[in-house]
Formats: sequence, structure tokens, C-alpha cells
Amino acid sequence: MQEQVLTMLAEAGEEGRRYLSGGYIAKELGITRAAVWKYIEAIRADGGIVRAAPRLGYHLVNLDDLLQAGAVSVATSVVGQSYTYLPRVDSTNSEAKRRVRAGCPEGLVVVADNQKAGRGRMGRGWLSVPGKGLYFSVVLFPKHLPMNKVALLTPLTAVAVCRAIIDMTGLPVALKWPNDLFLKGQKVGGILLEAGGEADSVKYAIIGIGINVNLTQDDIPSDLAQIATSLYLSGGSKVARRKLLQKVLSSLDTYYVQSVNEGPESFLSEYRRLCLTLGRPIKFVWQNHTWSGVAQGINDDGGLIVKLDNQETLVLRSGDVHCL
Amino acid sequence: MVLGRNGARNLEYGMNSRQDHLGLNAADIERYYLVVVGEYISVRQFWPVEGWLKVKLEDIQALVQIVQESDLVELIWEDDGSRLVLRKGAACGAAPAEAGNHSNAQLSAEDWASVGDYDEGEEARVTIEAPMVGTFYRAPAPDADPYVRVGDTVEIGQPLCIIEAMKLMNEIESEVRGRIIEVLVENAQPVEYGQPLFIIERL
Repeated sequence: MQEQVLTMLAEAGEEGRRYLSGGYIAKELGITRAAVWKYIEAIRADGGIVRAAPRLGYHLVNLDDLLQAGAVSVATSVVGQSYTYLPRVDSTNSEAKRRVRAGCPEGLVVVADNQKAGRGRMGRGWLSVPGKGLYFSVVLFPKHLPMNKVALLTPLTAVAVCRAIIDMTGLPVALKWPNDLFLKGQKVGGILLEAGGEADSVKYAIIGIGINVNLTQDDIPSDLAQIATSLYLSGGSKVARRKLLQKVLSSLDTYYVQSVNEGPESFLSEYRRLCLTLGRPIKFVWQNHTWSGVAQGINDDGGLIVKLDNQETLVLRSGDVHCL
Repeated sequence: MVLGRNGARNLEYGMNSRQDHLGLNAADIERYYLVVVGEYISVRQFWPVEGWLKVKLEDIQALVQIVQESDLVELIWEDDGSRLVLRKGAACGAAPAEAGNHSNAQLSAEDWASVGDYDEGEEARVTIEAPMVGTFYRAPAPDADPYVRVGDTVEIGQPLCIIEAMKLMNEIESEVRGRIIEVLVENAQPVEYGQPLFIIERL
């Protein structure tokens, strides 16, 4: 019921109505005004700033920063069909994995305001700042993909997130192969995907997304100051986390459904356009050697085609590349 | 051939050793299983759920080859209600067999009763191959313990390793219950599609 009350306040906010009377909420939901007050208190306890004005009623002040189930709504066919918000968690990917094991539905979204052990790749950490970042994971059961194609979810997700940010903010976000979001040369977001299954069958895929939304310079530790940024720091204005989340979820849903129907070319052409690595000299470590060359293209599996300095060509499927 | 523990109507048919004798190349054959439960038979893609009764299509193909290379016109294999018929001249491919009057029937959940243990000597060792190109990791993080070590016992569905491709960490699970005999790839090394990773002895 707390979720319904929040949804009513959120919808009123969306429609530009500032206040909803306690009596109106009570009547709509078939509860007492005392119960409405109780749920308003619960919403406040969860971080909602609800202003109460005599004779006017309640007004949700910080709607655009709320990520609770009642505040976030998306019209999608897969992504977001189930939704969980947690004030804090070890990592949304870990939580999603536990829920996969417990038998969650496809499309589950796990959102956390704060991650105590936000994860990057191979045990590296991910900086999480409560109230200012966007940290969430999406569970998919990509039955149409054999395991040797499941890594295509990385460029798919990268394109979906990038497009959502560009469409909402107009900021020139680009992708560094394969999974980093960059803004004016600094990292603004990342994607960590986990999948599992036996040799012939993908059972699940968990898409973890972290975006530095409204972080200020003070939020970024000094050792990351040169390499990390946020949408706010780079673009100069605050971005509504809730709206950005809704945008990313529907973008992800659109690209995912489209890829099921039309195959990977539906996002790979966009990926090639957004990929800042292409055409640049790079170096990378492969089989204990450091190689350098020029990134020439993205193949149909999402691999990076590199022309080495010795004129040989190879396709990278894993590891890190550094743009020179 | 192994009889199901819970009721002789269920049977599992597996003959990997014969496959070798007949010189069939396992890699050429899609991994489909012919499922035989009672009078019913169906062919489905490999999706190993514990307790399913399964006959590998490649094994049926081995049987077909036996029939083809012999003077036999028909081979009927009956086992307490289950019946597998191979007839010369009959269609061969997706469903190279028929069973009673109920071929390709749907199977109910109750039909997927538990399966008997494997016969001794029957495909005792299983090679787990890389299902994708990527980088092989034995542990979830650089400072974490490896998922498995030589000598460990693993259950069906237990993670064996991670293969990373394009920042997608893919946890490869064991298809069998068994003991790790050998780990064939060093940590953090690139692996090719189909490259052997582990040898597991069935338990």
C-alpha cells in the first residue's frame, strides 16, 4: 500500500499537480486518512521528502531522485517486469544472482541507492555514492543466444545505456570497447555482465550498470579524479536519477527485444558509431605480451578487429585495451 | 543401458564407448537426446536436468550404423514397456526411431523420474570444453580461491570456472557429478571455442 501511495504522489508530480489531499488518497485507495498518514511517514523514512500543507495535502518534493518501486514506472515488455529497490546492498549483481538462484522472473530489475561492495570486473571495486549515482542490475534469460554469442549482450547494453543518456541529456557520451561509458575522455559509467550455464545452454544473464550521475568533485576520490567524471560534473546540471533509470530500462528493453527479432546487427551498427576506440592507436596485453596496433573495426561477434604494428590482423574478444 | 531406479518403465540408454569403436566423430553430431520414457519417445535438445532420462542421438546413430552394416532388417529393443524400433528403410534424422504408437509424445513432469546410476566403465571420464572464446579464470577474483581444484568433488550445476569475453563473466557449470581429475588450462589464459578445460571422472 505504501507503494500505491507513492505511485499516486509520483503521478500527481508528473502531471504537474503539486498537492494531493489526504482525503483524496484515502478515498482512491479505500483506506483511512490515518493509514495514509502512516504510509506518508514510511515514505519519508525511505528517503522521500513529503511536504504537508494545511488544506492542500501532500507533495513529494524529491520525486526525481526517488528510485522506489512506486516511483519508477516503465512501459516495457521484458526489462522491469519485476522491480526491487534496496536502500543498500553488497552489490546489485550479487543480489540479482541470489534472486536468480531463488527463481526470480525474467526482466527483474534490482536497484540500490548504495552498494557496500559495488563490483567491477574480476573483483575490482566500483565507487558507489548514495543519492548521486545509479546502480542497478537486470536479469535476462536469453534463450535465443547460444553461449558463444551471449557476450553480445555487452555491446547491446552499452548502446542502450549510451543512447538513453544522449537522448535525455544531449551529452556526447561514447563507448570504449567493450563496456565503458566515456564523457570527454573520462569514465562516466560501466557495465558488468555475468552469465551462467552449462556448455550448451545459457541459463541466465545479469546486466550490471553503474552510472556516475550527480557526483560532485568531492565524491570522487583523488586517485580517480583524473579518470572519472559524472554527468553533472561534465554537463553542468543535475540529472534526474529516476527519469534516467526509466529511460535506460526502456532503452534496454527496446534494444533487447529488437535483437531477439532482428539479430545483433540491430545494435552493432550503432555500437560502431558510438565506439571511440575505432580508428585509434591502442595497446593491450594478450598472452603475457603487450601489443600495439590500430583498432580497425568491430566484427559480428562484437570483437575488436586490430591491425597490429607488424601488419597482422587479429580479433580481440577479451581483456582491456588502452587508447594511446 | 541403465534402468531407472524408480520403475523399470524408465530407461536410459548411453553407449559412448561404442561411439568410439564405430569411429563416429562426436563433434559432428548435434547434442540432441532421444528421451525414452515408458512407451513414449521424444527428441530434445541437450538440457541436462537431473533425473531426465536421455538417450544421445549419437548413440542412436551408432545403433543405426550397426543395423545398416548388418543383414538385420529390423532391430527391436524392448525393456519392460519401453520399445525402441529401428527398421531399415525407415526415416532417419530428427527422430530416427519409433516407439509403439506414441512417437514424439509429450512427457509429463511425473515421467521425468529419477535415473539410475551409470554403469561402471561407461564413459567414466568427461571432458569439459570451452563453450566460447575468451579468457579462462579459475577464481571469481584474483585473490579468491579457485572454484575447483584437482581432487574436488563437483555436483551438477556447480561452477567450475569463468570465461570472460567482452567483460561478460560467464560462469561455466558442471554438467556432471564427479571428481576433478585434471585442469587443462592455466589461469588468465585465452581459450578457444571447444578447447578442453577440465577432465572430470563421473561419480
